[in-house]
Amino acid sequence: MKLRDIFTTALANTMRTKLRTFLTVIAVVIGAFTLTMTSGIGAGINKYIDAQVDAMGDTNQVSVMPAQTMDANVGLTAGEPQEYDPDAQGTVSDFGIPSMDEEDIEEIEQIENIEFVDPVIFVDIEYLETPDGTRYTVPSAGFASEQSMVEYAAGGPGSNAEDAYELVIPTSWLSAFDIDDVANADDVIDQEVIITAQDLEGNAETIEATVVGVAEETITGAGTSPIPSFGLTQQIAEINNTAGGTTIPFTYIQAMATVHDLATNEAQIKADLEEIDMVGQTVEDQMGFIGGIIDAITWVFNGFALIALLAASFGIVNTLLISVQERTRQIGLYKALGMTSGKVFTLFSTEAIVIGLLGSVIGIGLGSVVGVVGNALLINGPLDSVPGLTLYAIEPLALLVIALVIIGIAFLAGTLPARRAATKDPIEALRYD
Amino acid sequence: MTASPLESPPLLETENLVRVFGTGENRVAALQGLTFEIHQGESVAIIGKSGSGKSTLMHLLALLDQPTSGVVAMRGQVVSDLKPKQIAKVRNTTFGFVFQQFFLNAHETVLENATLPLKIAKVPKAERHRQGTEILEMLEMGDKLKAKAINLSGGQQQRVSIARALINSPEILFADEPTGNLDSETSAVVEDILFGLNEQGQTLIVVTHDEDLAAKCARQIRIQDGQIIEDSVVNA
Repeated sequence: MKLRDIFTTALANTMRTKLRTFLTVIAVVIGAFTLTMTSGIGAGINKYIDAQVDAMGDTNQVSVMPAQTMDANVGLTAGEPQEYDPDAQGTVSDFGIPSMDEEDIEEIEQIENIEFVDPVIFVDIEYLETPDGTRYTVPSAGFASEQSMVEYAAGGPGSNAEDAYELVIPTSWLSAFDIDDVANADDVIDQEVIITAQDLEGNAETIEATVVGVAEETITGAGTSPIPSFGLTQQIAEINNTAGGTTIPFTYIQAMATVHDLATNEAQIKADLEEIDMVGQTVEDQMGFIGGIIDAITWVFNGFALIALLAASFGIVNTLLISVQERTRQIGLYKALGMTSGKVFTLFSTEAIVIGLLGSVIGIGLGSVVGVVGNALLINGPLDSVPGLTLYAIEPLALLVIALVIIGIAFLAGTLPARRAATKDPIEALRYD
Repeated sequence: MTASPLESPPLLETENLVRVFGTGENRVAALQGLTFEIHQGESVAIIGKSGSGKSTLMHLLALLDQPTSGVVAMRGQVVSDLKPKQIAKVRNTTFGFVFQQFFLNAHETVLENATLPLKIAKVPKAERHRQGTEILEMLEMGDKLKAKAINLSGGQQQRVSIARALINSPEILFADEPTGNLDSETSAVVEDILFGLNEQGQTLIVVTHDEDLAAKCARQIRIQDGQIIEDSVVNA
């Protein structure tokens, strides 16, 4: 039998018992649909992240942390009590996480090609007063380094000068300045605000700052609250950490280093940081981490889909075993008329493949339609406030792989009944009764 | 007879053919050493009661089964010990089978049923249809080509089954109780077809318990308890 004839015969045979085939195919469809959805969602979100990373492609920042932070057994792990050693390294820590002090920051500044180091400081702003005198709370101010990670609806990032007290506000804060339309965001630039912070004794001190930019919100969370500039951050931090004329020395969990030509010098910077027991991560490294998490979640769901397919494969085995039983005589005739066992095997595994093919075409088609339509409904509906969001992307290669995996599983499921058909004795099969 | 055994090897021959089923206490010797020759153009009835071993003999001759000992040879070549793939090819190209119960695929058309051996032999579809149409027309089934086998009468089904047996121009046509499922009138028609083919030179081996049908063959090999008890040529 030619392959073409085998395929058409297999197709005709599967179509003969329509209801049974249909029910078996449904199980495969469920698996294919789930795989298509999860991989499409994974692809869509990763695409969105990539777009976000690309949008800030010119960022030359490297996030620097003490190397031990990467060790799993630092900080909160219980263990044997250790004797105090005043000379031990990593004596500074916050919440059990090793942190850096001014000395470390200076060391980082010494590294070749590092232009500027901006320690990440958590500052506590009591309130922000707009020119019309209204006071707004600022639950969590952004970090100065975020200024170069966001996209601007108006203005731009503040300067890195220590005496420049500048502020970037998110688009959502425009209403506080009586601006209803993002198109008029320019009007807020150069407006003066008053920022009030408390020192450790609860005394309020004020700083005047200038609005220099309006930031769009991004997936990273950067730009969702007002971002003080480097100098302003330092100033607020100093107020926050002062009591009765004494300022507690700052410690930092992390610092953002601006690098000259990061693309070229990335390897050198990372190596030099390693030498002083620091770890450097570019934005892409960190985004890659998020992408990795999304990939992991995608794989978990893919795992569920594969379990569904495993169940479906037993359906295929069952259906084809019944089919082999019912068509014993046909198989006997085929063999008596000169069909080889190999071809009988091929015929029945092709029927399994037909079921897999039907299931994957319907499932992948359905998954793609639901994904595309669902994506359109969500990003134009409840999620339209997130700019550039994609929740679902069609990746032809991934769909092809899904189809091949399903057809492969169907084929494997078909081998048991196909073997049974291939080993049937034509004499037994053709006995009259 | 069209060929003399002295000039060329017989079309089909057996030597000391033995077939034993089971072992130990269940051991049954279905065939106990049969030796005979069948020549081109003969019509041979293998006749015997149920359980005589005639079906086992046909299975061995048709290479559907393998002998416990002894050989089956075609034109002097031993074929009973060929590899399964080669045996399948011999069955496909040199044998035609007509079964008592027709064994047509009920949901396929007359043409599809009749051309099944060609499909197995990888003959292209157009050629299959051409040959199938020709043979079915010869058997007066030309107006039923597209009919589903399930919608045919018993006689029509057996004609399709004969068409299927003839489609590969077989050297030997095996007919296993070909009229066993037909009424006497239809039986007569099917017999006319089979013996008509034999007159045109088609070698015919009929397996039957029906003495009347056997008597229409030129030669009768009578089997009882796994042995030939009579091998006679009746002058037709």
